[in-house]
Amino acid sequence: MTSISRSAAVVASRAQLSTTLGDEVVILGLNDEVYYGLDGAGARMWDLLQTPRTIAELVDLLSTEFEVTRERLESDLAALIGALHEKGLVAVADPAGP
Amino acid sequence: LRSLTRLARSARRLSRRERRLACEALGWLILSRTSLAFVPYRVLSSSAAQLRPRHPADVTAEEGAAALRRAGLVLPVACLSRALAAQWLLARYGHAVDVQFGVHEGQDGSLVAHAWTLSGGVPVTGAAEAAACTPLNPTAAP
Repeated sequence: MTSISRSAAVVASRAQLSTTLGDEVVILGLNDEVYYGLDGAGARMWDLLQTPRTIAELVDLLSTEFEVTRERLESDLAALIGALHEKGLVAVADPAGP
Repeated sequence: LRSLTRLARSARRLSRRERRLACEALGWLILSRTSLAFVPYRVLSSSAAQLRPRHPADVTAEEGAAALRRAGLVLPVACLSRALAAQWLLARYGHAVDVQFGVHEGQDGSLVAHAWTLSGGVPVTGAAEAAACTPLNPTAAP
């Protein structure tokens, strides 16, 4: 999985279309034509990624909204953003190599 | 067999021009359904822009929509195939087609996706089902 540095700016890519359906965010990946769903903290993260943010900024914002330790949040966000990046759903300004 | 007979009767009522356009639309439907089995939509969609318009003012978007509807009676295909066929057919007559994607929740709670098309504000394919959909929007990425 792609490793993203804490200081790299991440943003929702142009290779996707998304909307909110109830509590869920639905994303259509234009590269693979697959629909993806995010809910809870993932949906909120997607909302925040409509403008470029670093993982550190996301941790700061989400840790005030969800009851989770910063370490757990950072590790989960890094994994999720890495997976989204592999699917082409987010663009990373400065991805760190593995 | 009865429905085919009915279809043949209604086809006879069409003008030669409408029949020709419906046949052309059927050709694009066959091509789009076949192509989508092997090539990603994104690649096929971009090819519509490369089609050279044949008779720019010869066929209106409304006529194209009617032709695709008639062709769809002969060959019912998924909304994405119809959308792609609309792009190709109308590109040949100099019309740009805007493809929209949307989703709605099905009766069993599952996600139902839909694609529909407009050309200059005229609904071309999939408009009826679009009313139930929440459109998917691109991100205004910098």
